[in-house]
Amino acid sequence: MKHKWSVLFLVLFLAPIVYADQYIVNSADWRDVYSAMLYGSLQNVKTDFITSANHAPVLLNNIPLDTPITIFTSRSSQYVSSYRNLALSRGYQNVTELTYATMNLDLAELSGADKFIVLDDSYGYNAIAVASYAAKSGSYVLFADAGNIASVDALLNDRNPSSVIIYGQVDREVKDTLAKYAPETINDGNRFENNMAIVDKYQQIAPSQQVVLTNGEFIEQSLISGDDPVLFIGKTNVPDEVRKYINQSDFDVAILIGNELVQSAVTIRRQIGISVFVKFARGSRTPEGPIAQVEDLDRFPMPGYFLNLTYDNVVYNSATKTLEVTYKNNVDLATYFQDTVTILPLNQTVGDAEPVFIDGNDFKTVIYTKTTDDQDISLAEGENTARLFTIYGESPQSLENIVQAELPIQRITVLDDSAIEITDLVYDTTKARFYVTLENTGSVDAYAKPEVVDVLVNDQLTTKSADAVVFLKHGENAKVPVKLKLSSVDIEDNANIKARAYYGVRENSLIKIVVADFAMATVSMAMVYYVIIAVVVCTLLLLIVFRKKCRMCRQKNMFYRKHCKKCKAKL
Amino acid sequence: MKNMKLWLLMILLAVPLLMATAEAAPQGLNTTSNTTVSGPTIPDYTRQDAGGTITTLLVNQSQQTEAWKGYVGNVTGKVALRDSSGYTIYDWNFASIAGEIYASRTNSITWTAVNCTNHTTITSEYSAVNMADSDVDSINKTFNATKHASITVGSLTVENDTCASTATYNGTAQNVNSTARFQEVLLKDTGSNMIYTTILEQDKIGYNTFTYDFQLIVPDSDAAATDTTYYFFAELT
Repeated sequence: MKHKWSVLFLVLFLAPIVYADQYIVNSADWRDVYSAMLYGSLQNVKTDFITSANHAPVLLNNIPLDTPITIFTSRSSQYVSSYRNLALSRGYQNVTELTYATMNLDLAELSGADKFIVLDDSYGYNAIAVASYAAKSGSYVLFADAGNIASVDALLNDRNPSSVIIYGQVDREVKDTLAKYAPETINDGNRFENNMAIVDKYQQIAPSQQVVLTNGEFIEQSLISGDDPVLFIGKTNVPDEVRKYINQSDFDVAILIGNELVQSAVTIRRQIGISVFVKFARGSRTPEGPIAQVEDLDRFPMPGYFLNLTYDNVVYNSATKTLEVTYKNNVDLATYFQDTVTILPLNQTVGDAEPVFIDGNDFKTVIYTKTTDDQDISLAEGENTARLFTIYGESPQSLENIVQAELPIQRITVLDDSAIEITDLVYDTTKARFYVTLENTGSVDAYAKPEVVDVLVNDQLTTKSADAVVFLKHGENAKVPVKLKLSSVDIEDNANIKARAYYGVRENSLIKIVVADFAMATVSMAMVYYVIIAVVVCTLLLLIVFRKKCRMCRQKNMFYRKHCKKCKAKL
Repeated sequence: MKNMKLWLLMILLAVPLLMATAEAAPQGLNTTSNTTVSGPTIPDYTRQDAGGTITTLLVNQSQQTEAWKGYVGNVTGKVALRDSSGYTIYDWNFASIAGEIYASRTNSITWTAVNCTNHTTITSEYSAVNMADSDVDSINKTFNATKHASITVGSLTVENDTCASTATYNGTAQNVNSTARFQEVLLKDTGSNMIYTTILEQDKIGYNTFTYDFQLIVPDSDAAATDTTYYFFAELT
């Protein structure tokens, strides 16, 4: 009897959520919006989200007044306080507002799901990549990092999940904690490869000839509905891997959501040949008469990483018959780029065979010695121009951005006789950095900047360069730090480390490269040094801080004295 | 005693929830905006309903109707779309749009199997927009021609003069045929979702002497106090 009343109580409490025909998310935090949209998809309830305070009343214009509404409101990031009152004032009768501090976990509890996809919310685009598969497969997406993994684990423990997928890069603590659930891991190195893997999983459970195109930069209803798989296509350049994937797939039709990626979508249409539709607008919700302009779709922006690569200069060195192009990375994010340069008016072409790494806020000079058809590079008399076309991205396989320009080619005549060797490489576990030893073996002074290449950090390949260019007189050597935090597991994972140094006689044109491989070697401050330092500090404390004050004459005495130095009184 | 206290607590907590979930009383119609858009003067013999409406040509009558709404817009060059924050400008200069603009109440159309609409889909649409076939401005009476150019939707071709169609106002009433401006055709997908399809123009004079790339009419429930939501699609070439 008691059990029946408890069940009735729970039903009544959950009734507003269970029997609502419409959910609305009132939060400025994309994680709340995402969680509630996915929850709505899993419950098969139409869900909308507020994108600004101005948008809040407009959103109601399309919801019939007799619709039961449940509002999910963020405790700390709501757009509108008491949105329920606003809805009631508009004539809605059946409105419930629920406030959450951690909507992602709270809705996970309510969802009843026993399949989960775990990812790090630092990579918002990963959430978009998995959303459609999650909705289709009945999985709930949990955001986990080192800070909240205990809560996530507690929830999973209660649920005894039938399936856990770890998607994309996550903290090591997350991987270690979730290992007990035997999770499937999808982390192929970049967002596009990972996304294609999840699209494959979607196709296994619900084969579709249609695919939705986006790039993970916003939330929109179609991306979380589960009706079609979702594929990333790059901002302005469609990465080669994505083109190949679409070519080899069964997709006949693609639907682009929104207007920003039209350029990439046109590329797909023209180069791959599948039909591409754009969902570009919706009907106006602001009454303006019988005829209206269409308005933009409701989209919630996601936090993103915005790369910014520009050109610094283009120089032709007559002494060596080489072309030097210097790039500038304007943001503090490591970037890879690949360039094609056409030299005008002679129409010679040079280019990069492989993507080139440039660290955040750094310059990189690439030197071209031959044209693409293996001819010497030469310039015409008078002015020459370089037409540059560069694709770039966060990894070698995700070159999704384009920059292009036409720049005048400057002429110099410089012979660079510098010579640098990398003679040693060690990792200091105390200071969390590599020390690359460079030696100037040439006859001239030189500048150099080393990097460590493709180091496995938390299962992800990472390249990192030194913070600054160093100057080495001929015959000198220097230990140059390259900061990179490695755990003990990372150290074990890297038996060998490749070091690379760019160098040259000109500080802003490090046109030469030297590469060397070393076995992983570590150093740390020996424990004895810690002990010595501790003893010294303690002694100083005793001498300075712990002194005895004489009660008679107020003289301060060393801690070991038994009688006052001044008045001889007993201490 | 302990159990009684527990039951009493449950009931007290449940009461406000029960109130919140009580069935809403039916609402009266709210007055929508009755802004009159610029356009031709309606002759005296027509009925002028409150609320502002679009004019459609039915046989030899012109009659105001609240059951339809029109949408106009452009998909070439710089496209300005309003959103909650104002206007956003999109550059469509490097894109080219083919053929048609599509509007549907559904968020998700199955484009791989699109064809002329049928009686079942129209009947279902009547229900969704609170319309009856007997209404003077019903879907069948509005799209009462079968005169239109052929349409290519993805890789599918809808042959000319096979689907229910009409042609909307372009400064003057038009004869509905395969060369009219702003032809509109009724299609559906495999999910029986109605797709209102207009053949794209480029900067042609619309209903109000301004130029548009597309212009189409869609049914709007005249019983609901809220507008019916439509989503718009275009195909890239």
